[in-house]
Amino acid sequence: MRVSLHARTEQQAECVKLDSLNKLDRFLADVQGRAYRIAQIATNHSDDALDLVQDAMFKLVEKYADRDEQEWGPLFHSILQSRINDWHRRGTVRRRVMGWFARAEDDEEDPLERVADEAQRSPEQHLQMSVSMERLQEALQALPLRQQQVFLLRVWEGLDVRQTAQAMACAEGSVKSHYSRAVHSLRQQLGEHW
Amino acid sequence: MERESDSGLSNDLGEEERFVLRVAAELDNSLGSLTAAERVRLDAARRASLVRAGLESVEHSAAHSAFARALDESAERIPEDVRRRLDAIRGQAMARARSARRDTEITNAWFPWRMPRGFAVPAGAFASVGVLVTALTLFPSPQAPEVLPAALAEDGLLIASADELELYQNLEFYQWLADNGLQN
Repeated sequence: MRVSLHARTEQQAECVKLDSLNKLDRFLADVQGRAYRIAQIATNHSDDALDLVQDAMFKLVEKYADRDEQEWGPLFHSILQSRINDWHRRGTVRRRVMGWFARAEDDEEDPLERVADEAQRSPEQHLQMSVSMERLQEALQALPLRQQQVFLLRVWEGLDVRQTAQAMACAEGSVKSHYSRAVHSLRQQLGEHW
Repeated sequence: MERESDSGLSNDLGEEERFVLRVAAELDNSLGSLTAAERVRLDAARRASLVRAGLESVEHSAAHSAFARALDESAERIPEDVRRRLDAIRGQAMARARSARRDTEITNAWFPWRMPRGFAVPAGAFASVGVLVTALTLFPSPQAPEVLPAALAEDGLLIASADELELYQNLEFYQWLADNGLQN
């Protein structure tokens, strides 16, 4: 009797867990494309963007899987933002060190290394990545990182001011001012095309 | 994400809102340009994250419940002689517990001023003091070459002995016991 009760409780717990995992899987499937593009725009590097999204997924599932479904979005983007910031910090240090070596060796970086790898994109995908999107991406990448990320989280991810502030680890007032400046800059840059 | 398409934009929307909606629609469209490799990698990352934390946990909990079931069953299959020995051991333990409790009650009744157990200084603190005293004895500082006073050293040795701590705490009780024993 005791054993069967124990087994039933375990089975119920496993069902609840599997249901929660299915929901989490659906959430991640829905967010992964946008998260990747957000990270890609922030880093301008496809492989690193994929790594950042993967890290964010791992962390969310490991630490916050049992949280309420409504909290997953802000939590996931909070982790992703943290990873993007870390990536930029590491990049700054790397550039500083490499710059020092470059000066020491009087060696110049190969400009081809900066060119994005487009070989894997099909002609259809090139078409889909319209001219206006290319200009939008350029304009977004020209924004300061925090303005860029606030804009994407608010406009694309649909986070409200409070959730964006939570994800960006900043005050709600900062979110509003970053967003306002981002919209102003983008409209100025894209005005002639849009 | 469902958004109003460009063509469906209401005339009531301001310039800024139109702009923002157009940006969002453009970004949505850009998802179609993800390469197959990028999609595969994203799917793999998602599955790996779920397997790593979720499914492993499910497997772990299944194993855990199997262990629990096996342990429950094994507890029900204990041989009779082992069960009798366990009962005897439990009886002895309970007798000792009752005896210790009776002693404490007697002590508290006769020596209400005795320090409550909760106020006893932890053995770790005594050990630390012992180590300190030993260190001071073995490595006297050059500025103070004279040895530690004998009484202090003796106190240190006394308090450093954790085994005898209980004896010193209960000295009054043993004195009382000896007096009563003599009287009886």
